[in-house]
Amino acid sequence: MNGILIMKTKVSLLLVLSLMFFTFLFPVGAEEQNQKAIIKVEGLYCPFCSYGLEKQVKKIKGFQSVQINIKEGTAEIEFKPGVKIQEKAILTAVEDAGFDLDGVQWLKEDREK
Amino acid sequence: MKSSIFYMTLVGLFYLNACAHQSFKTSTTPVIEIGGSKGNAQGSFNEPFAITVGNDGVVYVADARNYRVQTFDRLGKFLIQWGRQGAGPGEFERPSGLALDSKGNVYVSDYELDRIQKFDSTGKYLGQWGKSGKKPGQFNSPTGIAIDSKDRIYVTDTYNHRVQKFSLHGKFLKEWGRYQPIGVVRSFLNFLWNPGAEGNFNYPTRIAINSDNVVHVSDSYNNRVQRFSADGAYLSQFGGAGYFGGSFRVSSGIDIDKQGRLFVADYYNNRIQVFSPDGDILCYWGKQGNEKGFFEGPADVAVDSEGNVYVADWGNHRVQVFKNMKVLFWSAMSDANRS
Repeated sequence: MNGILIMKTKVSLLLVLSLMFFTFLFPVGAEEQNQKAIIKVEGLYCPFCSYGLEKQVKKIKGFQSVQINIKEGTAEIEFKPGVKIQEKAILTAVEDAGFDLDGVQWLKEDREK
Repeated sequence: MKSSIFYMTLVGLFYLNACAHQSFKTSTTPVIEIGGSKGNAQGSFNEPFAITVGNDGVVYVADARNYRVQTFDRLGKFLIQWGRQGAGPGEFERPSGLALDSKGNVYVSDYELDRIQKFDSTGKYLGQWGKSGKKPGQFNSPTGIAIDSKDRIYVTDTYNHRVQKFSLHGKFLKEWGRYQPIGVVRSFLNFLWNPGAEGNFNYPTRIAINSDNVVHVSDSYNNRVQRFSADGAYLSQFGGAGYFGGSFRVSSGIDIDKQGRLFVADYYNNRIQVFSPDGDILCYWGKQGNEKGFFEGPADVAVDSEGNVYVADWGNHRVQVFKNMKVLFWSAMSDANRS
C-alpha cells in the first residue's frame, strides 16, 4: 500500500512540475487579456449610423463587445482573447456600414499581427 | 410649390420658431420638470428609437438598447412591456420600427436581425418574416413600417435603399427605389432646380401613409420627404439640406395627423417640423439640449387622433409629449409626478 501511495505522490508531483514548466515556457496571461481597438469613423453621428456599424462589427470573427460614442465618432471594439484580428476585417465592417475608416488605435501593444 | 418653400424658408429665417400661434395647439411650453435618464426600469428608456400610437391612445415605444417594446397611456403611465435580447421568437436585437394594423396587432422591425415580427396588442408573438439579403422579401436593416387603409405593409429597407410592400402575413408584393445620393449643395439649392433622384433613396428610414394611401418616405440622407402612390409611383418631394425652416439635416421620423399635416423629425437640427399636406412648411420647434422641449436626436415622431405629438428623444432617453401647450416627460417619471 505504501508503495502505491509513494508512486501516486511521485506522479502528482511530476504533473505539477510539468504544468509549472510549460506555464513558464508558454505564458498565456497576455493572450487571455481581451484585445481592444478604438476606431475613428467619419460620419458616425446618428442611431441609424451607429446601429448599422454595430451590426457589421458584430460579424467580425472574434468580436466580443462594442461601445459606440457618436459624439466622438468612435467605436471601442473588444475582441475575444487569442483570436487573430485583421484590420482588413474592421475596414470591411466599417465600409459595409456605409462609412470611411479614419483610423484604428489598438489599446494593447502585444496584439497578434 | 418650390417658390412657396423658398418663400417660407426665408420667412422661417426670421419668424418660425414655435407652433403655438398656429391653428392647432402644439407648443414647447413645458409643465413638468423631469429630466431623461438612461435606465431599464419600467418607464425608463435606453435609446428610444421608434414610436407609434393607436386609435385607443396607447403609445408603443421601441426601447432599442433595452431590447423591448413598452406601452403607455396618453399621460405616460406605463402599461406593459415585452421582449428581451435574442434572436428567438418575440426577442429583439435592435427594435427599430413600429406599426399597428386595423386589428391592433403590432409589427416590429429589427435593424440587426433583418426581420419583421408580429404581435397582438398584449405582446403575444404571432409570427415573423424576413432575413438578411437583397432579394425581394429580404432586408438589410429594416426601419420604418407603415400600414395603409387596405392593410398593406410598407417597410423602409434602409441599407438596401428601397421600400418594400407586403401583405399582412408578410407576402412580398412590391419594391421600389435604389441607392442614389444627392450632393449637399444640390440638395441645399433645391429651390433653384430639381435635385433629381426621384424615386430613389439615400438611407430611407421612416415612412407614413395618409388617409388617401399616399406613401411618405423620409429619405433621410437625401434630406427630404418623397411621396409615392400605393404602387410606388413617384408623386412629389419636399425638403432639402439646410438649417432653415422646411429644410433638414437628416429627416427621420414622420407621421400624419387627421388633417393631413405632416410632422417630420429633423435629426441634426434637433427639431420637429410641421408641413401642410402639400409639403409647405407651417412651423417648427425644438433645438439641441436636454431641457424640456429640446432634443438630442429626435429619432421618431407620432401624432394621435387628438393631435398630441409624441417624440422619441433618442439621445436624452426619453419621450416627450406635446399636448395642448404642455410638455410631458416620461423617462424615470414616478407615478406621483404623473398624477
